[in-house]
Amino acid sequence: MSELTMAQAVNQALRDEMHRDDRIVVLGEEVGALGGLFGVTEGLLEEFGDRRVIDTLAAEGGLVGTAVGLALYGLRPVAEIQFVDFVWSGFEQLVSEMAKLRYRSAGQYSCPVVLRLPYGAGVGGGMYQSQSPEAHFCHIPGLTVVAPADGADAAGLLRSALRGEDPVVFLEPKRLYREGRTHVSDEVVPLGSARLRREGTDVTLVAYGSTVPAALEAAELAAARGIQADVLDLRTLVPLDIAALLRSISKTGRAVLVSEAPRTGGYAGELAATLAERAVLHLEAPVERVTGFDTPVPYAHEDKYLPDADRITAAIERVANF
Amino acid sequence: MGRQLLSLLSADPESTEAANVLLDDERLSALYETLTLTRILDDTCVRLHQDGRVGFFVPSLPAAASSAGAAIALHDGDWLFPSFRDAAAYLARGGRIDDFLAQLLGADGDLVKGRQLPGHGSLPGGRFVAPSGAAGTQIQHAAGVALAMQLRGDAQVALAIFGPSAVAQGAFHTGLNTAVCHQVPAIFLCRTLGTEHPPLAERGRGYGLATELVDGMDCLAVANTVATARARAIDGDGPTLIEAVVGGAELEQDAAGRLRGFVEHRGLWDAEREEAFVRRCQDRVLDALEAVDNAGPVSAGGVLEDVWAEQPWMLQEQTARLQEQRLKDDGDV
Repeated sequence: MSELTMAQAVNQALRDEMHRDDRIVVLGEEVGALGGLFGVTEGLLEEFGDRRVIDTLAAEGGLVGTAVGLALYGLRPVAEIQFVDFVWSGFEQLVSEMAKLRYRSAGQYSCPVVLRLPYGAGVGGGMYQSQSPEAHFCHIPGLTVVAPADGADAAGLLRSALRGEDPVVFLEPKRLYREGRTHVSDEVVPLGSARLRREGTDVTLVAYGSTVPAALEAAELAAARGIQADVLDLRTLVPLDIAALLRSISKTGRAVLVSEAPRTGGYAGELAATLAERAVLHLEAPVERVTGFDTPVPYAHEDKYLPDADRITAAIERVANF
Repeated sequence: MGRQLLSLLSADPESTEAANVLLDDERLSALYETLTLTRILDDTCVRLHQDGRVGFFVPSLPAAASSAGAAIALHDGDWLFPSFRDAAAYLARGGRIDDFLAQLLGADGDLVKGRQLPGHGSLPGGRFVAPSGAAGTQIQHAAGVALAMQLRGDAQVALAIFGPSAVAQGAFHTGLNTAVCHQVPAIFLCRTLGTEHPPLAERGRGYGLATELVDGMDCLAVANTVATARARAIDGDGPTLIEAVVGGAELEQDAAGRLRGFVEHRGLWDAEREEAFVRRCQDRVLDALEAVDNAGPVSAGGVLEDVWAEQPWMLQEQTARLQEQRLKDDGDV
């Protein structure tokens, strides 16, 4: 029981789960002695040895495919890719193999791999270390897609992921790795359950992962102007907690959807479509998306790229005053 | 510069005997029976294809000898990742004729529920892991499974079979690299035409792999090579790349026919057994076809299952919609 950063919380959950289940192995580039690029796997090699913590070659296709093999054989691999931006060379294995093996073998085989992917902008990483490609993963049947916003949720969701039977894409908002501390227990957070982080009556603010802090800040700014927002932290993108989303919308009738990914074809669009299909009779105003731009992440201008509290607050006001 | 292919089978059984065949009599018989059954099944499949009942079919020849030879040399507990040409390995690893035909024809009872292309069946427990439509990905899986075997201390091997198109893929590079780096108990069997540049075996040496070059039309040579590679892997001596050259003058020759003289020489086979076995296989194929016809097409009921272990709400909802639609369609009839 302690107050931990998100990086420490993920480390703690890995450690606990590795003690609980000896099938869990951690693998990735420099996850051993170095403890991972962001220090998330620090100390695991010393504690569990090199049969449980395995440094792999710098080739993401090889990494994902190796994890698939380990999982097929009955292990529970947790594969870390240093930046989600490096996942593309592993996409063949991810799309064609990890996500499809259960289906194409009609359940004879499964791939319970947890793929840990630091994602998002805000650490000066430039366009190849800053992306938010969650929509790509959400579009692949067979993958569960998770994006926690603090250490407690990251630990709880990781425990669920490691106890499940299917591949989980675990998106870790890297700019929050060391932002703030939360109380981390051994609680298991179910996959597919959103968390209402703030209650309001006027607008529903939907966010996940890296954008949750800005959404909460915007909600306070809006409150100062007399607009009370529900802030729904989705935590899991697939499967979406549809009940929590519709519950909030049926109360507020207005929605602002926040995502730092490029706008076109993004997950916020999926949320908007869902609301159009299921909540149109509750809606009092057009749904607004606050997202990144349809550009790569510009190195020196990422502050302009990222949806910040001001942009979100402006959207809240437009929707509330429609 | 001609390369010397390892070859065991010759017209003279005595000289084959002198080449130190590693398979025991039980496996030799099983190999011969597998090849015979593969030929009969292949003939049937070609006919079904010509009749338009199967849209997509890749004949087992000329892959059958290497496919069966490699699979027969494996032990229970070993894993096999096939290409889409490995019906012989499917049968060698315990696949049943009726399951094969149900899968081929998309009949009810298909173990993979009508989801895969004809000839892409799967057996559980690593016996024959559902082949993919992506070239070469199984090379990396074999390396991963072999790593798992090594981590768990299990005295088993993983075998991947693939063709020359997979060699150009990234998974060939990463799979071999992974296997060598961790010295895992994996065997990579690549069927080539022997005309590739650089020759596959040369590439293997570049990765630091033990590399073997065999006549891929010679089932005994392939079996011997896989058995030897298996023993090395179990002893902790790491992975092996086997180049099995297929084609040439023997391309049209039946793999079972090539083995026949030797199993007769061993006293394992004769004309009487041949006649009885062929008849039994033909009967089983006919029975299986009849069963497939009686079963009808594979049920669409499971089409939205097995994506996740449990259906999430989206698929539950889509299942309900699909059922509504089918009830409506039935009502229209």
